[in-house]
Amino acid sequence: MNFQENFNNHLKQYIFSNDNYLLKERQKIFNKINLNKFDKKNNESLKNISISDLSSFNYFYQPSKEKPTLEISEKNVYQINLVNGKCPDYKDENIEIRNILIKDIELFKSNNQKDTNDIVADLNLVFLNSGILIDVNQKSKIKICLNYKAEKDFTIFQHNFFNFFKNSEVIIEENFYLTENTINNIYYNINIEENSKIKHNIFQDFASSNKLLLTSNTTCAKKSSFSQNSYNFSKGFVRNFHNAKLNGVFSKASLKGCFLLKDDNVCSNKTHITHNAENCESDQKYKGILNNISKANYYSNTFVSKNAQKTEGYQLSKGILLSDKCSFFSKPELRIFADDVKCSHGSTIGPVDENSLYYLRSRGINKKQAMKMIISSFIKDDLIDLDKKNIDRINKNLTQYLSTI
Amino acid sequence: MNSETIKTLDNFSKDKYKYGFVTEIDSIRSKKGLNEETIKFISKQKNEPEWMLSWRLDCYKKWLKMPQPEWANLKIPDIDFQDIYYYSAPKSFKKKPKDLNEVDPKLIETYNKLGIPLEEQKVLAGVAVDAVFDSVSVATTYKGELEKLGIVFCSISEAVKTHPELVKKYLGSVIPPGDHSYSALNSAVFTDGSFVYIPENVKCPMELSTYFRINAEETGQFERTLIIADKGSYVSYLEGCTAPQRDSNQLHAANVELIALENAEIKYSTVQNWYPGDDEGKGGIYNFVTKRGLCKGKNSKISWTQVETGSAITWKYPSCILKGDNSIGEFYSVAITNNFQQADTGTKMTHIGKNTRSKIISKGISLGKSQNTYRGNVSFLRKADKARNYTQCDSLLVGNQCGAHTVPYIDSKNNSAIVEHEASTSKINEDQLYYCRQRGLSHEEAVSLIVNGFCKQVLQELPMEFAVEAQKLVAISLEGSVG
Repeated sequence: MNFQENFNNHLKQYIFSNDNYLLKERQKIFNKINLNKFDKKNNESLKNISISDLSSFNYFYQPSKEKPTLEISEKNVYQINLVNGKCPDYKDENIEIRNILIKDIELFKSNNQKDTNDIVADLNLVFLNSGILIDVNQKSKIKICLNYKAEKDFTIFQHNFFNFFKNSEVIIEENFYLTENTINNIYYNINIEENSKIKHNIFQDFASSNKLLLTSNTTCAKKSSFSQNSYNFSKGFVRNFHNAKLNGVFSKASLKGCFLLKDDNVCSNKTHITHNAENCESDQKYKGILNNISKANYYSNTFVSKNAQKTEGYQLSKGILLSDKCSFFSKPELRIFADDVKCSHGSTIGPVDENSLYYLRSRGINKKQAMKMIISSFIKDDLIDLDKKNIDRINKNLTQYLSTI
Repeated sequence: MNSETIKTLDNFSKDKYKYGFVTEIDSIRSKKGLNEETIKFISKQKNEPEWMLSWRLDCYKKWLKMPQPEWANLKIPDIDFQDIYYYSAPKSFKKKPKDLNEVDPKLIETYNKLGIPLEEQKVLAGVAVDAVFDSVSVATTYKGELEKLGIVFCSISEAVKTHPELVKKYLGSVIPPGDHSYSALNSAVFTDGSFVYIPENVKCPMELSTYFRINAEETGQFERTLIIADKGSYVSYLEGCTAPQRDSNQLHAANVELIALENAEIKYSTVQNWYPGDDEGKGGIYNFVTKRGLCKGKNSKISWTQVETGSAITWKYPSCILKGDNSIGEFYSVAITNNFQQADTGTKMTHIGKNTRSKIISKGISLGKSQNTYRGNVSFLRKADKARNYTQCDSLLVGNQCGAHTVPYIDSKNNSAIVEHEASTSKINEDQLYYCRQRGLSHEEAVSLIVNGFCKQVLQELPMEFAVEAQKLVAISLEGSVG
């Protein structure tokens, strides 16, 4: 089904379809895409994926028989099982969880996701059909597991709002249980208040017929910290576009990720950190291994505004190419307007290191085994702060990937 | 920022551009504006053959259809292409002088003022100079000596007549006129420039040099340089440029094409010191230059070295297409921006052949309210087995009103190729400063020493004749600016 049919046929099904303001916004974006009135050449959201891939699909969304659930398995561990973007409503002294309601419309009006030249974020607003809101109260120390389930053929356009109030410490773990032929376009607004510490781990391992497009916008207040790790072992298309704004002094943000690609899989990554306050630190690091005819790209950007003195910002991208038909594109960018800063970036792309290979082989390890060891260490380098269950899961995926080399 | 720094920053902004004088000389100009008539006029003035004129007209037609390039991180005011003179030549040049003695003494005086004493240099320095004044080549020294070796070093308009086969074959072969609008514009209206041909297995015994000078007001300078190094040859080429101090902006859009055949090596060095505008950002040259080299044969090498201190707005990406197996591309750059200057400069290394290697060293220094961007592209195509690139780009910021940006594009399609890129942005290291000051150096001397150390990797790549000038230029740029 083409873009126009999708838009016209299901207009009534989208959230806030009665609101005039949003209708106008949706119409505006629709015209922009439909009439090709956007920058195609320098559009980072269209790298490795064509506009027709994004806009032509069979829109399908309806109420499901299966109900979303919430379990509190251990103390302060909240297992939230979402079904097609819907969550159960829940509230206790630590947390409030609910689906977005008509009263939340102001959040969308104030949310400035326009003018970003990001077609995926645009499509999210046009076809928006679900969204959840999580508020974590002050001083709460909890773990939230968000298990996303998407039923066959569903197209989910979801916008989530996470608010972490002062002095909270939260680990969010996201898992995707996607069945078959689903599209999951998920947009997050994450707001972190003073002194809060947030860890955000995203595990992506699903079958090839699914698409997952994640976009996050995080703002960090004074002395807060945000650490995000995405692990992409999927066979289907994944996009990880994550932005963070350091608005309070002494705040920290780290956006990291790794991906293993094979066959004709494609993966698109971007991280962007804006320093708006003094004495902040940022770290952006993505690593990937590519095989067969897979393709990946990674855009990273550190923006330091005029008053963000004493900034420290680091970027690193590493790619290992295992076959002569895969390709990797990286663009590590620095935009700096303050003088008292320490910013750097590094980027490498190449085959498995010959010297390491030689070292292992000279110790009697065969080439295949040596390759596997080097690749494992390349990925495992960053597996800190993960519990045993998740490490086992990554190991399993890694072993599976390595068995095809 | 401490008060000392602010004071010296102010001092620096008062530093005057010493090449800002105007030479009073009668000149012949084309009519203002760009149309087919202008191109025919230029072609007629130069007595060009018919094929050259039709090539120019084709390029003009392409230019008409092309939009302005938008990739750079620059704020470029609208340029009215119909408000520019496309040809200006000193009147006494209607007939080209055969000898330096026939050149207008005023011109010779101008070049002396600029530190390019054609006569003196001819004897002392052993540098062959081709001086371009506005739109025409004024004089080429040492021609006879070079001819003995079979080296052709002349103005491009002369080469069109004397070596049409080479010009026809290579002109526009590295920078196709349709590449972007300024390459098309230059191809349509280029007025002069240098042409160099080094025959097989000849090592050019001296540095070849061109000095560009814009003198006339409201005149654009569009020079074209074509250097061909035949099999096994070597040449080192230097380029320098200045312009008078004016309130209006002037356009300089040059195209430089280098072709290195098997085992040949070309070293191209530039010290760019066009008028940068005053401390309010008024006036100055728009310097939009396309430079590209083709390592066509096996084992060939092209090395670009540039020191960019002038121009109000610069965009310039000296690039290498590494086509021949084992070929090497190098890029060394120092870019200093001050006041309201904007620079978007870098390089493009395209690895096509096997075992091709490239190295990029870029140093950017931003002062005042300037914006300095490094933009680089390194790409390995499918067949570039075992290709290798190393990139290092460092930026130094002085003051919190300027900006330093790094925008590298890295694309690898070959799994045996290795690319390594690193970049850093920082201010002058306090510890180094402290160390120097403790040993009795003044703040200014210490900063100058550190900055010179910061640029050394690039400056040492310059040939002797330019290294001295470049080091002085860096020192002048920093004089009183930082401490």
